[in-house]
Amino acid sequence: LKREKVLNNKVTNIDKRDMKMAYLMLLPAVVMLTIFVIIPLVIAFQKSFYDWNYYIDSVFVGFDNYRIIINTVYFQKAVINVLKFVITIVPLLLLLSFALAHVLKGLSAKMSNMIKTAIYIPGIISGIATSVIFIFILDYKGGVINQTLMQLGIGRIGFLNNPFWAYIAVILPTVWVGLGGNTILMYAALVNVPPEYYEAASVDGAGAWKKMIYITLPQMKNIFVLMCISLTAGTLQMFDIPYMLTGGGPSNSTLTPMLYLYNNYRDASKGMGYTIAGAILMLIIIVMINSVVFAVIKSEKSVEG
Amino acid sequence: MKLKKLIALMLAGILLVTTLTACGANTKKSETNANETGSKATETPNKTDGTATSEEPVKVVVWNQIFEEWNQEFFTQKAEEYNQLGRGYVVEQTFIAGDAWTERMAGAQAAGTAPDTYVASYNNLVSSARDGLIMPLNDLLPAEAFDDLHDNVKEMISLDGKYYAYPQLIEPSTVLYYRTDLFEAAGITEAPKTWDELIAAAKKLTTPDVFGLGIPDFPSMGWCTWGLQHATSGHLAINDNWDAPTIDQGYIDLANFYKRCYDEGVVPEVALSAYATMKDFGEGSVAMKFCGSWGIAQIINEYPELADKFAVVAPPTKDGNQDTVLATNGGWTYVIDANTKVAEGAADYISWLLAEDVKTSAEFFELAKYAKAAPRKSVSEYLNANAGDSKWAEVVSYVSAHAIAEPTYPWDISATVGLMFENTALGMMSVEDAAAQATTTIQDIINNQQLAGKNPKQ
Repeated sequence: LKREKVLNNKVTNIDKRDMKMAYLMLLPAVVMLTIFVIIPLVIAFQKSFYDWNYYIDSVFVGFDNYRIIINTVYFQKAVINVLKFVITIVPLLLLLSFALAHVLKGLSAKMSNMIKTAIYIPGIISGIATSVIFIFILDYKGGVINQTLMQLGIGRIGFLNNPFWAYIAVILPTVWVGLGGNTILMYAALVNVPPEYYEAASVDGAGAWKKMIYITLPQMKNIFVLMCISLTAGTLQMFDIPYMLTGGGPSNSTLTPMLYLYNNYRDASKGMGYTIAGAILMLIIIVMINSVVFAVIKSEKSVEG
Repeated sequence: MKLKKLIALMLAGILLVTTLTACGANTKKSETNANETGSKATETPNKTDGTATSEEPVKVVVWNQIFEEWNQEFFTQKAEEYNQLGRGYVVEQTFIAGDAWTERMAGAQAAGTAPDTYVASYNNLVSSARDGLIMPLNDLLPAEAFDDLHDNVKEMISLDGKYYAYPQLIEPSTVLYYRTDLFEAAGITEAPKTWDELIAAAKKLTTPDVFGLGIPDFPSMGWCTWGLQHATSGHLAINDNWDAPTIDQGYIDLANFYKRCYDEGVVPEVALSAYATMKDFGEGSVAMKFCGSWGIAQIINEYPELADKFAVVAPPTKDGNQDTVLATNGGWTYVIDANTKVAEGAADYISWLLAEDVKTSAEFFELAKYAKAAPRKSVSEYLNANAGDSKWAEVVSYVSAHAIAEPTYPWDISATVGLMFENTALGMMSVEDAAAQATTTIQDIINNQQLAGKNPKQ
């Protein structure tokens, strides 16, 4: 009925009253978004075209800051690194949380609740604290793994001095932190798939694989879209774990754009406009990649179910 | 419906008020305000014209960094002493942690609430002066105060013929620490002077529990090797005109030295602590270690059991020549904010604290166990005459005198050199390839950032 009214462009008094209430409820969010997101974004965008200075007049430099940051080898390297992290971490988390959600669904309510709580705990720990935990595990001299290896008569492994191990060392805590929350989301979506669909499929002789391909995955499309977007955006902004664990090394193999920009912000020889231009570029990259994700998954169709 | 509207309005109002209140909240509670009580009575001075009268002392806001406990106690006490003198100004000093410094200072400068005077490291002076953040001190401090400075220190605080800071201390970035007890046990009688001797000693000292030599962490290699780069090649990584890289055989030799350390197994595969801290040495994990002279005070204060078991010498060089550049000089200065309204007051405090009575300055170096060098000739002479049996004063003073100022070119260039050493030492590429890559990258940085001809010291 509501849809019909909108289509007919007829808005009743009740609708108007509801809309007023809706706008009223939205007001705080809009005001705060304006103050803390929109205005700073506009100012940042403007500053990115200046050789910006607090005390002397800023000089308009056009796209110079963007030219410099785009041509900086370390920024390029950082962008490539973070894209590698995205193509590893996002599918890994989707797969693991999907599998774990299936396991949870098959368990008794008591056991399921216990495991849900256990896997969710890492999600409430900050990236910094997580990194400290993993330093205890991976440390060259006193780390749990290297101590065990030494007890077994095997030499130590310099996890954080080897590009491959450092890459793994960053991925592990990232997945550990993200697994709980994403599994809960997957689980919620999984239990919402109507059981009648599976019953009907069983009657038609469909096996477990076909049920997953033709029922579970299409029914969970929206949650996959949501997770893809949020995981991709989150991974592109990776900072705390590489900062704490590897400092971007070895040989810049775990340097991320946010870490590079942070280091630049602290480099007094560079102007602030340069760092802001880098941040704006990352914003553009994140929006572009998320647009691609939307396009690939054809989210409009999925929203309509 | 009215009730709903009322609730919505209230919620919206509460959210807005709490958010905006939080924005304006006073964040100063996280700081250590050493002179809060002493300065409250003087919060309405002649801030506008910055002149002192006998009735109303003018408040001078000072930001200091949190270093060692004794350091903070010293400067707190000095501020209190100054405030008792009745020179027409009172100091309100705040100590801020180093890792929060950049953000706090940037925020204060943007908001126009920067302190009147604050500590600044030598390597930030040029950019701060260029950006107009700090003011020249030539007209604020007497000429004799600058005449008393060592020549290499004058160079470090000057730009275009003007002095932009008054130095508090200088610290050579590289000296070699070694455990005398382990040397004795290994039968090593002399401290190494060449790289060959260093590696030979490290081999003798290496056991299953102790590495012979501590290697700098790779992120620090960009800066902690500046002195060694100059000692080995006679110059830094780009030429004086800032238009071409100068990665030559000296750099290749230095990279090979680090590779040898790894290949010989005398250093841990991963640095056991950051270059700037003596944790690995203090905990007995390494028998020798390169660090700045500040490490002396760290050992004495944090690992007192080692106080009589270590020695400090000038860093070994490739050929043993120690009458060359051995390190860079870092350290701290006091600068005056370009927008301050109490420049005379800030200068008066700096002058009293650092440039007048020799004993006031010397007291700091005595507390620092002579681990830092004095920037003033008169203070150095006083310390040399009164250092007594200090084992380190002579070495620190020698290395400091053989040290150059830290380079002012962009950090990306130093990071690239550090990466060259890292790639070579870890065997990721041959030293020739690493050097070629470093040369190309530095040239790209020069071109991209249009550095040619922009050396402010040229």
